[in-house]
Amino acid sequence: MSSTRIGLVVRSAPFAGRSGRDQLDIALAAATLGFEIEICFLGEAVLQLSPGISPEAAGLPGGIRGWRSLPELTRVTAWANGREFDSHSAANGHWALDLRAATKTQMAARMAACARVLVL
Amino acid sequence: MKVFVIVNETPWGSSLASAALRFVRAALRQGLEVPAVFFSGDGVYHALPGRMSDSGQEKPAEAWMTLAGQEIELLLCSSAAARRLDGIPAETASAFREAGLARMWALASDCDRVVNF
Repeated sequence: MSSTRIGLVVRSAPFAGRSGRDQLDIALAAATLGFEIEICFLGEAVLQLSPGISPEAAGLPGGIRGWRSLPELTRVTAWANGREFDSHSAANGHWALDLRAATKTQMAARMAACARVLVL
Repeated sequence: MKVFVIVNETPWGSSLASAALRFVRAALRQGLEVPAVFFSGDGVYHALPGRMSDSGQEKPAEAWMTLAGQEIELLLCSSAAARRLDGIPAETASAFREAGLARMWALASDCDRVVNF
């Protein structure tokens, strides 16, 4: 199990709901079990990794800041695309994970190479 | 072939939940093995018994419970359930039980396919 690579597709923006930690919990559980993780953040979902986001201001859980702890547990490769990623990267390029730009086609290829993929 | 099914959607939020149910039934009819269905996120609401259902519609919890009798484990994500439910209701406790994310990943590893809704 330790060398297995799994893929996660994260679709939810940080203000999309109250369950801000559900996706992070799944990633953390995979990491603690020794899986390598590839994550694709689609569209506004990449804002979960923006240091300037404060869900508490909207009365929502702030658990999304835990994403930055993921690389301490396992090897993580993260991908993103979309207007939010482009504009924020151009402004300061600072994310909670080491993000790389990818087209949707490239993301699909990365996910296809994983042993298991969950769409969250 | 073993298929592991994950349901993230609430029973009432979209048609995905009923699609999951129909998928599991179809998989069983095709002779596939479905060892477990894991309900995570808002999917844990599937364990809540409704008091009414629309005409011609089956009640989600009762429909899933019929599958539990076919040796399918109905697992509620324990952390998602802790945030949303005050325990598993007595009416559905015989079919649903809680499990952690480690169990979910173990099932995902053991099965040939993972399908999530």
